[in-house]
Amino acid sequence: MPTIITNKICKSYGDVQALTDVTLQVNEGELFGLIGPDGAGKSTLLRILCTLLVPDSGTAEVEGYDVVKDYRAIRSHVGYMPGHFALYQDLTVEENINFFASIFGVPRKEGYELIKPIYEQIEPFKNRQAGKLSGGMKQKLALCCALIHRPKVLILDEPTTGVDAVSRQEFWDLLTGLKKQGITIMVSTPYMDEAMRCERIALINAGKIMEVDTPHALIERYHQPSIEDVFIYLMGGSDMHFDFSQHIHPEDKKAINVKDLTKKFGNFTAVDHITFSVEKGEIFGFLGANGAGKTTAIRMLCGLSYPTSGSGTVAGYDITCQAEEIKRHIGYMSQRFSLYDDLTVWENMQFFGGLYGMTREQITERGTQLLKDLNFYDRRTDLVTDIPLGWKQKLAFTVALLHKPEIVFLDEPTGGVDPIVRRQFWELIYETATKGVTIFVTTHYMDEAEYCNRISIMVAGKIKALNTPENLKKEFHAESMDEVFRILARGGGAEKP
Amino acid sequence: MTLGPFIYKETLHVLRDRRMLFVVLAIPVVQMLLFGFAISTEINNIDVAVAYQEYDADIRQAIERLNANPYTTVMGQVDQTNAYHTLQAGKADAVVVFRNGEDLQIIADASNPNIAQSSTAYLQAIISGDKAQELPVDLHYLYNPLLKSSYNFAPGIMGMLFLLVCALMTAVAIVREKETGTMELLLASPVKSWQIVISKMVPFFVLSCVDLALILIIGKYLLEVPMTAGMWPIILFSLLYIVLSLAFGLLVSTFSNSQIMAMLICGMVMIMPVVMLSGMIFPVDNLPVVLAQISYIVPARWYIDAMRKLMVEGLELSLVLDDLIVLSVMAIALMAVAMHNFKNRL
Repeated sequence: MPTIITNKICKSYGDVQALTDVTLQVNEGELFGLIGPDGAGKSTLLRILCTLLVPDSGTAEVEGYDVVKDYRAIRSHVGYMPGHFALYQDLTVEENINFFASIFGVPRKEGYELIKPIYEQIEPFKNRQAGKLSGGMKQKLALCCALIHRPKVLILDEPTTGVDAVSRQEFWDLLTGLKKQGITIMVSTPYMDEAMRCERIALINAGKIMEVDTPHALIERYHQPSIEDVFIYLMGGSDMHFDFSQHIHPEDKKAINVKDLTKKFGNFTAVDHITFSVEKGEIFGFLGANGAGKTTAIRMLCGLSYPTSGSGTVAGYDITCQAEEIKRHIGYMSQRFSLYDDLTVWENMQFFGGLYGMTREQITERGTQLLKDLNFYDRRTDLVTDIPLGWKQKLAFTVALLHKPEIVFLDEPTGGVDPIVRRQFWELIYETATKGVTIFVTTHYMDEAEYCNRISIMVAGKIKALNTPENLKKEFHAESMDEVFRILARGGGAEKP
Repeated sequence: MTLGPFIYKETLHVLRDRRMLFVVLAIPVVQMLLFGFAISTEINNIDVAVAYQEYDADIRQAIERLNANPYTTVMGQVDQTNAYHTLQAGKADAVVVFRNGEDLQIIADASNPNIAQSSTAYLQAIISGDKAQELPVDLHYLYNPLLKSSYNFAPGIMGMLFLLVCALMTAVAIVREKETGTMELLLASPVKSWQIVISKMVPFFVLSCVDLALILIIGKYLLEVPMTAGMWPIILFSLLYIVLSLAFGLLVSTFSNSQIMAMLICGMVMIMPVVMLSGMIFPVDNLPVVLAQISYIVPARWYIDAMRKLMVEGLELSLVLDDLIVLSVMAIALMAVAMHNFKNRL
């Protein structure tokens, strides 16, 4: 008897069809993955199963209870963890757990056995407010809260988003442990590589389930090297071939050159004497776990933060005294903020061009050319909010190039976008780099790290490794960058809270 | 589950936000003291300049009376043609122009019409002095013989403050859980909607009671508002009004998706009408007909009206029964609508 059954579920928000005829079954005790990019309908489906939304049509059952009629029963039996660590930030670790125990009406002791292995990892910080924990710790606390009433079914909505590769790995180990205790787990994720940790997976895109099976069966059936390739194949992008051999030959000129760069906040050293240089025209991957000091380092390079000690140049300007010059010669794009949603693409360009002191004619000329290269010129008057996420990211990158910067800083530019867009995005990065623009990129996707000319890995404020991906793999006797990353990050000690 | 742990958690939220707690407790004290002592609409001092062509006995007498009066200060003599410049330069609030002894002109700075009106009336009374004795008028101000503005403001501040603390805070506290995603967790748990709502309200109810106590203590002992009707009717009315405000906050939270939106709605929909339409500052009877009609649905109008009767006039509870009934009906209706709108799904 399957624990979760959905039958032809449809759900729409206004004009947007979020789910179309979703039919699937999750067996008792299974670790089931719902794999798909942002906006595929994952959260909607999970919320329907948690009785938070009512489907427009179709039926769903969890543990034999109907999600619409028997919603009270489901609410007592299911453990749910929504995205973005829904915790009370101003309550301590212990207060959070006690509160969730109380609303399910269970004494805390009862659920303690189940969460013990997880809770022990955060117990040293039990009197700390949840808002002051690191991403990985929050994630574990949220999991404890979802498990405190010993649910038979656990529904997790993107539990690993925004968490570094090491914490992600640990989290999946925890889930595997829970599965052994007989808990049925349904988990959604936009990371294709995590699919391999599930027993069975459903590939979901644009509200439709494309395939349901074990990851290995899918890979064999479609003769693809990975789940990501299966996904791309199913989306009809089979002829997409990205030529990674198209090597970029950086010019022998330094775009970034820093020596002993250090930043201290009080007693805490966020960035600890880092020394490295980036060649002009190079694609440089800047990796590190959450809290390793990447953001602080990037802020110093962009002239947003003043280093405590050390020196360096970016695009030939001194980071300690020529911050304004630097800002004029670099471009910046991040996943969190890219473009103004309530302006059109063209208005965004006008605004950002104006920020960099470009004249109206310059903006028009350069903007037209960039948008035409992107095949987006005809849609330049669309509101950004109406544009799909993948396009948004590409446009944001384009806007960052508007003022012809010498270096572009990309902060997790591909978070949450589907694999096809991700590859298109990297094509765009390669194209840009061949024109002599230096790319400085951070990412949580380890496969993307392999696309870089060179990468550095930061652990606890220090650069622990810096080389080409091939050399790093050789050096650490690892098969993939993922492995290299884990060896380094784990070696650097446990994650700091 | 029992409500205890839930209320405990909500109390922690309130106690952890020290700054907010301070503001909520400091606002009533500051407002009462400000309105009670610093800001007053009664006229304390009118600077007067005089202008005349020929000095005579009548004028001398008038100026003497002005000089003798503690609320007027004679700033000196100005040329009649200079009257406007004197007012423009702010050297005087009014210029009294004596023309040929008989005719009298008062030119007042009416940039603040309220002050201009009362001060001209006052000046007229002083100057006409003796002549008025021919028709003696015995003025008797009932309930507030000293015309203290603090009597008027205490009920007004209460009408506004409880809305601020209860409605705004409750709405923001609930909407914050929507923003952080924890509301999703609560809804997906066996907790019932009414339990969420009651737990949210309890800490703010308690805070409001503390505020009420502060206001009553300041009102009675510092501002010496009579409160002749006794404390219990005042407390009864205030508790009713607090519950009504909580219900309104809950209602706002049901259709706000962000804290900013909740604040704007509370601010625009509630605070503004309370100031304008409740009789707190402007008498309801003086409002244009349409606005006067609208004022009937502003709860603060009924509350402030009752508070004035109880605190200042010292009427018995039976004489404010209509206010009591209207407020009760409003509180029940608001609570019912709010609870009905509070969805137990997303």
